[in-house]
Amino acid sequence: MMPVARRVGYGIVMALRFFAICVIGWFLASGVAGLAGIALHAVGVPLSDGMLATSLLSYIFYIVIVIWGFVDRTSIWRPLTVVGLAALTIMAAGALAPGVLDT
Amino acid sequence: MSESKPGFRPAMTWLHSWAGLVLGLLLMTIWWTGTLSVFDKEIDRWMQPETRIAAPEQRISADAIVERVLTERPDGTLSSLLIYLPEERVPFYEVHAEFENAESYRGRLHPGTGEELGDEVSLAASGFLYPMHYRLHSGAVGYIAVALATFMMMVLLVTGVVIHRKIFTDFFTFRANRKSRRSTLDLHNVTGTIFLPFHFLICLSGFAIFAGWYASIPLSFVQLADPENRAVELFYAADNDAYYSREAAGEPAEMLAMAPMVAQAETIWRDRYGVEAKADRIDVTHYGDANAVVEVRRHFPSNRTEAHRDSINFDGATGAVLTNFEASPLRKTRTWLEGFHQVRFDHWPIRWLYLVAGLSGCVLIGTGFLFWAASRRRKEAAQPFKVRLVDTIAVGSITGLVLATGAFLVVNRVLPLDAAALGIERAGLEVRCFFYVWLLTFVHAAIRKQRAWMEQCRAIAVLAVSAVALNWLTTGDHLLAAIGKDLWPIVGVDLSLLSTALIAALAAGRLRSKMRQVEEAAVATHRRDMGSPSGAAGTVANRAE
Amino acid sequence: MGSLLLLGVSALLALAGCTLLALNQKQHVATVLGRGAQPPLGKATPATGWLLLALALIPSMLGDRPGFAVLYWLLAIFGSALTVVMLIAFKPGWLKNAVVPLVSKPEMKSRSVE
Repeated sequence: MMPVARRVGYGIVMALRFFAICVIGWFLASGVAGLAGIALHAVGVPLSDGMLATSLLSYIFYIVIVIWGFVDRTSIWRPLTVVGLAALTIMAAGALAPGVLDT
Repeated sequence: MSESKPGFRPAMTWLHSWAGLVLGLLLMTIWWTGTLSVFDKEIDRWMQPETRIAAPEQRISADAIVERVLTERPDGTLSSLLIYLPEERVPFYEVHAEFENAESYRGRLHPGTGEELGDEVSLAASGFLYPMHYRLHSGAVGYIAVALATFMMMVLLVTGVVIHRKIFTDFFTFRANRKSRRSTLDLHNVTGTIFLPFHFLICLSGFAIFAGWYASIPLSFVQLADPENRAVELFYAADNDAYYSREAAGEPAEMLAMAPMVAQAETIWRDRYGVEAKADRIDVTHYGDANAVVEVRRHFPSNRTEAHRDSINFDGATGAVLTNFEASPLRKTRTWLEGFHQVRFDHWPIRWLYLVAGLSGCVLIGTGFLFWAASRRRKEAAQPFKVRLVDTIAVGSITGLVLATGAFLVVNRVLPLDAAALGIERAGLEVRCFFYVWLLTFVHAAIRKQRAWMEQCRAIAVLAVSAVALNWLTTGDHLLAAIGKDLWPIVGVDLSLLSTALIAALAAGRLRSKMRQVEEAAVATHRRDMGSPSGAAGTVANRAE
Repeated sequence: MGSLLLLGVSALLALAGCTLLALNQKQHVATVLGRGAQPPLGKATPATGWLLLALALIPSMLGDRPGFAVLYWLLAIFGSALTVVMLIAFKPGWLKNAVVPLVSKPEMKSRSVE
């Protein structure tokens, strides 16, 4: 009985890890792209050009996040870091955006 | 990477095999439908025989087309109009018209006579296989799933390079006659490394097409703290600066002819790019109003890789140029990526090479699946369920997908024009057929286990040959007739179907002889006459365990 | 038609280049030319191979617009590499016949060991 329970448990943990790194990692990459796009806008780059460049680069950044996230797949800190950074980035972008866009 | 070196490669191997396994079915679907979409217009001609039109000697103008649409609807006053102009691969006018009384008209018209070509009774490739490629016919969920799968495909490509130790030594290595596990891996490596730049760029350019949509995701996070949507608004305002719109004046005015505007636009573009430039689309807003706008566009140039956003807006009443859009350099990078991905230009050698590259991607994904299953079979004899599940998914996503496509083509030629059942139109029935056959292939794979490969290969061969035969019977365009009529799209699809049938039949034959060997080997081991058989048969027996 | 011909020449050059690059590797030389054989052009094999790949760009540039030419050239190289892989795997004899005229002296001196 035990091995089955363990296997199911392992499956759930892995699914959560996949979700945290692959899905939330996308949010993180996108959030950074959004932040960078706003920063570029603040220094005078048109938003559409800046966002386009940063969102294309964010796909590369995403690859780095996923690889980093799975280098140590027993670590609990890696998925948590991804989730935490994603939340921070989005909050930062949200806080900065209105000010920048007003100027 | 802060990790110590020894653990890096194994970690990447783990990531590569699990991500590949979890997303294999999705990736295969996207890759296969994308590969077919390289020839979407040709498949359209095959599945919509009413559009198999030879280019007329004299093309009638867009104005004559509009007149024709208006004479058929004398009671309607046009409000807006969208006309796709004929091109080499889509040889007819397509008109979408909106009338003041909220009615609408959609029709495909003959470029020489202006006659209607009849109702569209099949979604064919442009309406089904191609949208399947980028949104799986599931709306926003489909877009997101495709986006994630594409992200992960790039991750798979990168990790694949990391874990492939002898990338240069093995560049040309395909040991076809070795153990099947070895040759599967060889094929996986070869298709992966040779086409690596193409595969990577095709993923990245896929993103570029939807950059507007995908960029709305980071933007929507910004939006969380920005309820007035300014970021999104700004982004799209800038993204859509190629487009122009203005309010209706409310006063009727005589519309100028569109043909001279098209000619003027084409001259402007020819001067800009130094090559022949054909408009491919006309958008008219506020038709017959003093503020009517005629936008002449060239989205997919036939003689350049880029998918341009060339667009010139004319005043419908005076003919004055209102805007003349030219993309910024960064936008041009994006339009190059879009054009690279969408292959709407006319270049047959490149188009065929895209097909090869696309199919190699399918082989890459398929062999990845097979290698996973073959490795597990050795390692985890204790978990037959898991291996069987993966086997089933592998069969369904490799031969099953091809089989479903074959069924889609066959049912297209079998259903009568006015077919409808259970309240579903003919086009919908074809689509249902595709999905039900596909589902059945999974069931079949689960029941028949290893035999499923061979049986589905046979079914593919039968379906492909019957598709060619049915095309002949229902339209009269057999190979020679099609060549005689210059219907090269039909010739191409028919020949591709016949080659598919040949390959599937050969594969079925080979699988059958392998199964025989396995059976004989099994019998031999049972009798224990000569001890355990060695060599190929033994290997195959291992594999079938 | 002329441009199609030039594109064909470009593909042939790419195919030749890939063949030479493959035949610079021991295991493929062994499969195609026999055990102990040397790369067809000796030490010049890889350089000639790369050169042919580079030269393949010229006819495609002459036959097409630059943008298409580069795209075609790259895809033609990928396609050629795949073709060479398949030829080595299934029809090494064909490759041998194509390469034998290049080999200056008959490759009979089996210097190999093992």
